[in-house]
This record gives sequence, C-alpha cells and structure tokens, in this order.
Amino acid sequence: MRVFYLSLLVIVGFAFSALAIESVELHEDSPAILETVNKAKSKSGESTYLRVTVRFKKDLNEAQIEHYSDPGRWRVSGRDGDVVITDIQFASGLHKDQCFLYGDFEAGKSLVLMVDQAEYVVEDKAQDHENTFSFGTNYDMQLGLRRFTSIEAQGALDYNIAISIMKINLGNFSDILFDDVDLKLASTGSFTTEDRFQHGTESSGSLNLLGYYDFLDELYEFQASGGFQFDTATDTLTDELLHVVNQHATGSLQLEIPLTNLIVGSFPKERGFLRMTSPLVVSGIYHAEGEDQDKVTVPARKDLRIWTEAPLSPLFILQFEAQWCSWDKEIPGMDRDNRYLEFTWAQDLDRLKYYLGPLSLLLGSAEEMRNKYFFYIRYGAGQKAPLFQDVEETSFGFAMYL
Amino acid sequence: MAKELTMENAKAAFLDVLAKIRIDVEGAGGWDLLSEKKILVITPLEFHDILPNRLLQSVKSVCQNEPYSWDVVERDPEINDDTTLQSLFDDWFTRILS
Repeated sequence: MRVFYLSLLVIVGFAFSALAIESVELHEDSPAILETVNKAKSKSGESTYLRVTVRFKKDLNEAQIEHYSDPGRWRVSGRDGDVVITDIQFASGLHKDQCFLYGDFEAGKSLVLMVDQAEYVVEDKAQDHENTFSFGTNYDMQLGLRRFTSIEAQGALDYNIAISIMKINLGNFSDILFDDVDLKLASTGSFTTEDRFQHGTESSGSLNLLGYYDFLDELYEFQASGGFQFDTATDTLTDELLHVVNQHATGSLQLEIPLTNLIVGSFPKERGFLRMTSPLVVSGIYHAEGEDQDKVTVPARKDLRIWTEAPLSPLFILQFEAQWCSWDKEIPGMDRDNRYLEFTWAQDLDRLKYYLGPLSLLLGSAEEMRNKYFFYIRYGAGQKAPLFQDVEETSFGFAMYL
Repeated sequence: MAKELTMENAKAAFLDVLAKIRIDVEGAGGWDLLSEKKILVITPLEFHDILPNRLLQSVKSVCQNEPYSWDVVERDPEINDDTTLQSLFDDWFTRILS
C-alpha cells in the first residue's frame, strides 16, 4: 500500500512540475494584439519540429497578412539569444486570424516574442521532449435511474465517473508502441432504494498506456493499464454502506478487435441517426492478491470481459457485456468461477418525446433533450464483480449524460 | 501532391477523420443535417475517456498523409457536454492544420 501511495505521489508531483502553461502578456497599445500563443509540436513527413501559433484578436485583411508574413517584422528571443524565424504561414484558407511561426525553437524554454514594438512572453514549461500535457481535463459522468421489475429493490441510481487527471502525449517517441499516457480515477456503482449498493462499487486509480493502429482505413485502440482498486459492498449485518471487501493492485490489457464492427457498420443507416459503431472490446484483467477492511487476505483473480454495442437505429441501440472471473483459490461461500451477462436495449429519448406529454417539460425543450437522454431496458444474469451475488434481474430506466 | 487547405477540403478531411473512428456522417445524412450532433452523445460511454486521443490520432493518420499531406499540431481537442461536430471542426480541427 505504501509503495502504491508513494508511486502515486511521485506521479502527481511530476504532473505538477511538468505542467505546461502557455500564455502571453498583452500590450494594449499593440496594433496586432495576440490572443494566445502556443508552442506545439508538429509533424510533417519524417521531420518533427516546434512552431509557435499566433492568434490575433480578429481576422486580418490581405494587407495585414502580407505585413505579418514578413519574418523581419517578428523577433523571437530565447534564453541563449535570438531564434531565426525560418517561415511564417497563414492558413488563410481556413482562418485569417491565426498564423504559425517556424524556427529552431528549443523545447522546454520560454520565449520572448516581439512584434510591432510589443513584447509577449511565450511560456513553455514542458520539461521532457515537448510532450503535450493536460491536467484535470476530460471528465465524464453518466447517471441512470432504474426501476427493477424482477428483484426486491424498487429502483437504483447508477453512476459511472471517470476523471483523467493527467495526460501526456508521447508523440515525440514515435517509434515506441504507445502514443499516450493517461492517469485516471474512475468509480462505478449502483445505489438501490434498499439503501445498499447492488453489486458493490469499484473505484480505481490507474496509469494507462494507450496505443493506436490502422487496419483497413479504420483506427483501433489498445491499452495497457496498471493501478490500484478498491472494491466495496454494503455490509448487511452492520449496515455499513461502503465496506471495503478488497483492496488490491490491478493490471490489464484491452484491445479493440478489428472487423468485428463490419456487420453492424454495413446496416443501412436511418437518416439523421449518427452514432459511433463499436468493435468488440476485449479486456483481460489481473487482480493481485489483496485484503479486505479487516485485513483478511483476498486471493488473486483473473477477469475476462467483452463489450460491444450495435447502434441499429435511434430506437434500437443494443449493448452486450460479458464477464468471466476466476479466483486463484477457493473462497468459502463463493464460486471459484463466476460469469455475468448483461444485455441493454437503449432508445434515444428524443424519438419518444411525442409520447411523453407533460413529462417532456421536465426534461427541457425538444432541442435541449435531443441526444442527451436515453431510455433503456436491461437484463443481467450471473455473478457480477465485486460482490458476486447470484442475480437475475430486469430493469428499465433513464440515462443521461452530465 | 498535397490538397490545398481550403474550408471545403478541410471539411472533406474532417469527415474522413470521423469515418476513421467509425462515425459515418455521410451515411447518416451528411454534414448539413448532422453537424450539430453532440460528440459525447454519438459516442458510447465506453469510449468517452479516450475520445480526445482517438480524434487526434485519427487526424494525424488522415491529414498528414495523401491526399491531404497537411501539417498537424499535436493538440488534443477539449471536449465537453456542449461540443458538437461543428464546434469541434471550427475550434479545434481547423486550428491545428496548416
């Protein structure tokens, strides 16, 4: 545990130290006030270089573009002296308020940019290899309300939260297998009207290495992850809501299988219905031996999970998930091998709004509710992690993105 | 030979980028009908957390190669609830090309 926390501390510390903030000081009297200046890596063919993106406050006319296309108008100074600007490009076919400066810029060094007697500081604090970096962005949350039809609990609130707290693009190491590193926190669970979590909760912090590969003009992703996970379940004897039943290290490999989306992708599309067609996603997860809240050892476990979605029409979005979990040792009162299957039939509520009557007012205007709410029917059977209670349940509910 | 970087060609390239990650805009009705679709809603939750990376990788794969052969600044898009295909095109895609 200590080793894990120490590792996490080191990673987060590195994250703060490498935080790349790119900003400029504005001079109000400058005729060409820069709004933002970014220093970013670009790639063309085999060459990789740095360039500065200059954004003006408004579109420039042809005379102004000619004026600022002259490298003599610009001066860029680094710590070791002036940097020669080799080229200036306006992507004028797209935007007339932006241009790129090219030169022998050094990674990780701040620059002073001078134009029209005004001076701007371009900060580049990226420490290593000019990798792009973001912090605390890309959060994602989904809530679902369900009503059970086949078990004692009347309803449940599902949550699924993922926060990417640090991301590093490894583009500069283009020869290595992985393109991105992502440090992520995630939690998932389902709280029922019986004041307990239905299958328990799973919360984790993980470091993910992401890679991509092209296959027949489509892009597929693979992922290797390592981290630490807390599993909780409601203790029915003490009514403790989040009793930790396992805390352990995890490692996983995930792969999108090419061509598995071909059949669904070839179905004729309903006009106006747009949704990503998913391939089969296969994950192998190893849960190392851990311990529960009472320091009782929990054996190691191997999981295999497959997931896919078939978006056939707005009224017919099917999702399928299967999990196989196998404990390394027998656990009293629990099967050594556990299986869980789940089918979800979802419908875009936008298509059902005419049938909701006054209820639709609660969900906002048709425009607001469009593509935001889903109605779904779910069937699940088997023993689902982390509680592995044998269930067979049918439920229906609403899901919304926040 | 590289295609000229015009708004029209950029839009064609963006449709290729989306198609590469299996979002078939043309097959579902075309850009004019679908440009206001929210990217997080047309993407299964399973893929939300890696969507920015996936989009950037797709842009690099499409735009740095024939027939476009453009330069691409390696910057992830900032995606939130309100991000539509149109805003992604205007505020990110066309800003990282030259």
